[in-house]
Amino acid sequence: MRGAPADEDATRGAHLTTILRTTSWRVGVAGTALALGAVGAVVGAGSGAGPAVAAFFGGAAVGLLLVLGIAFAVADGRAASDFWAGLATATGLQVSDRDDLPELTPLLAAGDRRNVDRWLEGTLDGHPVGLGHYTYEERHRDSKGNTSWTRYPHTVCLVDLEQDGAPSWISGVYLLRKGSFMGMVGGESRGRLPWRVDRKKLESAEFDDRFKLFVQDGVDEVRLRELFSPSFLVELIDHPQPIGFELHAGALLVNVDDYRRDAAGLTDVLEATRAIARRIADEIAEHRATSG
Amino acid sequence: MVVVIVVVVVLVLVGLAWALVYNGLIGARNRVDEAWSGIDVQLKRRHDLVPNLVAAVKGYAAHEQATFQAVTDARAKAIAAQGPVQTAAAENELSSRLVDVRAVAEGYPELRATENFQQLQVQLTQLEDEIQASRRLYNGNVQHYDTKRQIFPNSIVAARGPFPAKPLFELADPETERATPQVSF
Repeated sequence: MRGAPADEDATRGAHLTTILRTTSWRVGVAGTALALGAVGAVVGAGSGAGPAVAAFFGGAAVGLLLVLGIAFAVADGRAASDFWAGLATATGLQVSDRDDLPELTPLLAAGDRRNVDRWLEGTLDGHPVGLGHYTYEERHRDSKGNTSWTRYPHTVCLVDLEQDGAPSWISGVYLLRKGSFMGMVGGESRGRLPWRVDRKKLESAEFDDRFKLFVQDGVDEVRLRELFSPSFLVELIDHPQPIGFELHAGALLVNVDDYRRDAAGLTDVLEATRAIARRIADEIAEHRATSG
Repeated sequence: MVVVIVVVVVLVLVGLAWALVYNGLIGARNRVDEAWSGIDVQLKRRHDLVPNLVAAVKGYAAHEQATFQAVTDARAKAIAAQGPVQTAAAENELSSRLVDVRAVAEGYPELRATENFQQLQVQLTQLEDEIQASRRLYNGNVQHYDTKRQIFPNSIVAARGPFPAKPLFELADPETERATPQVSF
C-alpha cells in the first residue's frame, strides 16, 4: 500500500542504525560498558571469582547488550509508530491515542479487562470508523487464590451504522469464526454472547464448517437470509482473513484473532468492513423502500 | 443369558449408529435441496428480468426479431427445465442468447444511455453473480453430501436408503460470455 511501510518491522533496521550513529548513544554505549565493566572488575576482584580483567570485560559485555537492547526497543517502537502513521495516511484515517473502546458488542464487552494498543479513526463511506488492535483479558484464580490473566488479542474494525437507523430486524447478528477465541466449540460461544441468541444454519455446508451464526430474538429471518445472500456467503468463505463480525444496536465490529501487523492484513480487515457495511446499508435501504 | 445381553447391547448400539448416520445423510441431502432452491430463486429472478430487457432493446432495434425470438424461446425452455442437468443446459443457452441481445444493444448508444437499460444491465450482472455464487454453494453441498454417502460406514446406510447421487450444477461463466460479445454488422 502506497505511503505505508509493509509492516511494523519494516523501518526498524533503519531506526536502529540512526540511533546507534548518534553521538549521545555512542557515548551512552561506551559509558555504560565502561561503568558496568568497572563494577564487574570491583565485584569480581572483591569476591575472588576470577581475574579482574575478565570480570571487567564480562561487565562491559553486559553493559553493551543492555544498551543495544534499549536501542532495539526504541527503534521497534518508532518503526511501529511509522507504520501506523503511514497506514493512517494511506487509508485516510488518523492515528488516535485512545486506549479503550465502548462496550458496544459482545467482543468489546468480553473478559474482565480490556484495552486498545493501536487505533486509527476516521470515516468509512460516511460512517465513523475505527481500526486497530484490541485485547480483552480473562482473570483466573487458582485454589490458592493466585490470580493469572489470559490475553485474547484481536484486530478489529468498528463502524457506527447508527445513522442508517439500524432497525431491530437486523440488530443482533453475531457471526463467529469456528476455532476463534469468540467462537470456541460447543455452548461456550453462546455463553460468551451476553444476550439471548439462537444459532442459525444457512444453506451452505462450507459456510457452516467455518462459521457459527447467532441471532438475537426479533431479527427477521427473511431479511437475514437476504443479507446473507449467496454472493455474501462466498465472499465470507473466500476472504483472505479469517474474519467474523458482530452487528449490535447500530455498531458493526469486524474482527480477526491476533494482531495483524502488516498493511495487507489490516487493509483486508478494513475493506471487509467496508463491504459488509455496504451490504447492511443496502439491506436497510431496501427494507425502507419496500416498507414505505 | 450373558450372550443374550451382549447381543441386545450390540443391536442397540448398531441401531443407534444407524440412526445417527441416517440422520446425518438426511441433513446433508436436505442441504443440497435447500441450495438448489436458492439457485432456483435466483434463476427465476433472471427469467423475470429477461422480458424487460428484450422490451427495452426492442424499442430501438425492432428488426432484430430473430434475436428476440431466440431469447424468448430460450427463456421458455429454461423455465420448463427440471433438475440440475437439464436446467444447466437450458440456462447456458439462455445466457448465450442474452449475450446476443446485449450485443444488439451495443449498436445503439442512445439505448445504452437510458437509465432503464443501465438499471437492467446492473440487475442482470448482479443476478448472474448471485447465480454463480449459488452454484458454488450448491456444488459444495453436493460434494459434502457425496463424501458423506461414500465414506464407511455411511455407505452401508446410504445404499439402503433414499440417498441417490446428486448431480453438480455446471454453468458457463458469464464473465467469459460478457468478455466476448458476438457483434455482427
